[in-house]
Amino acid sequence: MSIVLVDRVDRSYGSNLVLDGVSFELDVGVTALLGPNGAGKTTLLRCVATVLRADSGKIVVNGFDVGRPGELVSARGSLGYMPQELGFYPGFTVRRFLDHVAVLKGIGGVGVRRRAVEAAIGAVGLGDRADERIRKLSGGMRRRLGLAVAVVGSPPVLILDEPTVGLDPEQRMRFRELIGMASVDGSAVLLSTHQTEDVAALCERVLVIDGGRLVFDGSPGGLTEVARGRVWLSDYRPDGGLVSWKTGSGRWRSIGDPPESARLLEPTLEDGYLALVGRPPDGEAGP
Amino acid sequence: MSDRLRGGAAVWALARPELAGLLWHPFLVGGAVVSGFLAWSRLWGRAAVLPLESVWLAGAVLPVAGAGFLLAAWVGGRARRNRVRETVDALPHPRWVEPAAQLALVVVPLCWAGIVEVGGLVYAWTGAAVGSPRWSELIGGLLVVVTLWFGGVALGRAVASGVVPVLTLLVLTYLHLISSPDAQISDSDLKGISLSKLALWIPPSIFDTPEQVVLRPSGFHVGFLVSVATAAGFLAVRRDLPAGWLGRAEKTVGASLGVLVLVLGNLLVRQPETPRVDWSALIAAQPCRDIDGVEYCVFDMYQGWVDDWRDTLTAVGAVAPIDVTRVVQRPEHTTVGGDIKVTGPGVVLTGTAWDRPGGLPVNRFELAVSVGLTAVGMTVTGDGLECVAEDQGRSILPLWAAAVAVERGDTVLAGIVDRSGAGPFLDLDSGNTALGVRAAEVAIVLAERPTDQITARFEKHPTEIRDPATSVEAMAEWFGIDVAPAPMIDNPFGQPTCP
Repeated sequence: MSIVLVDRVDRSYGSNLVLDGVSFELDVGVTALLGPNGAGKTTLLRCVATVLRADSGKIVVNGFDVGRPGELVSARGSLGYMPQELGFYPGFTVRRFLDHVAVLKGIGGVGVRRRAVEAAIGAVGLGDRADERIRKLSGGMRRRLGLAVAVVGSPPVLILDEPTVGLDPEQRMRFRELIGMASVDGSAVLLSTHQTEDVAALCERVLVIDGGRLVFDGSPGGLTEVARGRVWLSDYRPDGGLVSWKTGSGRWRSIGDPPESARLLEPTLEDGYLALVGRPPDGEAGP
Repeated sequence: MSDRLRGGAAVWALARPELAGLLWHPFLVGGAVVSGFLAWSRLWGRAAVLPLESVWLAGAVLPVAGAGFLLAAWVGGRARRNRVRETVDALPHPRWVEPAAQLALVVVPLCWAGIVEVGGLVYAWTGAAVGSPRWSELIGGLLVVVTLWFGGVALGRAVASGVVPVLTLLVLTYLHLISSPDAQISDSDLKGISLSKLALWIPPSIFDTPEQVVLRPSGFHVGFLVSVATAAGFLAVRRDLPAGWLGRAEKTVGASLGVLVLVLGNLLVRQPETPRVDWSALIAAQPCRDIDGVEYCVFDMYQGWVDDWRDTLTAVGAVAPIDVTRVVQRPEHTTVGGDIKVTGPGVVLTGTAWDRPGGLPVNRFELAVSVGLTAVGMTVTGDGLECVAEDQGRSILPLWAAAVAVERGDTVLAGIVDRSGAGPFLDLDSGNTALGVRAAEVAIVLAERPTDQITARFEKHPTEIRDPATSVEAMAEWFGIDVAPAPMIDNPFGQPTCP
């Protein structure tokens, strides 16, 4: 049985349909959620994280149907959620804020809660800043704290909305390590990101959402294969194609129909993603 | 374990780490300092009349309540202000836990308010206090703190702006000011509704005496405050209550609270705006008792001060030939026409204020002067100025007698002279007679000399000492003291010279 079940979920904001019959299942491991801006990634994560109700469809977390009031609390008890826009009480210390969250997670017993908090602090590498007020933390440290909020209590499901945005390469590597550890510990991790390198490095599965619909569900290799035979290198900017850009060598890389005298290239994960969701510039024909 | 039990434990777990930090929050500390000052300024140096001091102590905690209101709004709006809702909403706790913990933090301002009230009460109680505390007033003060804290949490959770709580507090303060019986800002009645009764704290009139305070509708008011505090607390958690419970709550708690508030409001409105004491009846029923040939007529509550009054009479009598047959207590600032007047020789009036042991004996000094006046043929005929004796030498004797008969009386007299400035009248509440600064200056010099010597000199002039025509200058000459001649001024009081 899967840890997370999302079944034909719809969600609208007024007349704007943001999620349109999205369905998938998650098991232990890291799953990436890719999609262009406005595709519905954050809305989908918020629905799974129970902070937003789906208009229709079913979401089951760790066996608990979030649509049933009697099971909502239990579903939330199985979740760790790191929202895209992090919020903290700046006057609290790291340790106190995590204790506050741990209380609200229902982690009972002072000793148990203290151990859970210390484990989360240790997991995100904030041990030497645990007694510092949050207002003094850098942006990267705050994102680490955001991850600690999600992982405190070791929930079986982690929902992470763009956890690596704004981080420098070293911090991103650190995050990859942390998220990878979570999946090793038996959690199902669903993270949204724009960083295909993160996906390639971390995830065994990729979901691509576009226009509120799930347009891809497979492995990173499978997503890469979407672009096979459609990635080109040419001396001149191609007239058609989905996307093209000038590389560091001065030549043009493009996805779509082959430009004149172009050389076929081995696709990357990013190529696969762009081949899937890329759109031709205005006024040009599609693939 | 049920959610409710887990939630109850979580409320404490959330509130506990905040307690120490909030206790020393500058808002609350500042409020407590102002409250402490208000209590101190009322109680310092006075012998407490506990029913009245209870009212003032309850009022003194208003700065703590106000500071608590702002702090509660800050605490209540914290999640919204810092965008923590998104994180918190995904957590499995019952949603009412966090606002409930914020409500529970009311123990912090209550702690400060309690310190002010209990500290003030202990101080008052240990200094020749009379009467009994008005517990309903003291509880009412604490309930105002609770009400404003709960209201602040509700407001903070509902409104993101930090300006709104400040404006709300200013409006509340203004409403309280105009609800004071003494406020002339506006009429506190609106179409028959007694607004002052609906204020969180009913400001007393500065003319209120303990007897009037007893008539305040405090029992009803405590009920009113409990209703308002409960309603504010309910508003703070209303949105976060479980969906099923919310329906019942709105139907039961909300409705019953509304009814309760309305009923209490109506009950309050039906009462007189400012209950007044029937002084004629109270004075007629005033018990009198004879001690050492002097009849003391005192309201029951103040019997504890009679020994002090008798001691004062005895001390003045030891240095001057006083002629006192009755000491009658009358409330200050109360005008009830002829009913309050006491006429006849040998009558001395005393008020409803007395000095704290160890404090400056201002009231004792005033009583001593009133007693001393009887030694020079000046009589008390009631409250209110009736004649002036600025240049009457006989007024030196009561001032001197009070200065030497009352411990630290010379200090009190010197202070009164300082306060009176150039005069010519002495800023002294001495019954019906306005005494002069020049006489007081002579009395101060005499007080430094041996008492026997002064007494002997007075005894040598039994007629002149009582003669209204003997000037201050003339009497000062008996003792070899130079004083400035009487200034040629108009009598600002328009009263005749004392016969």
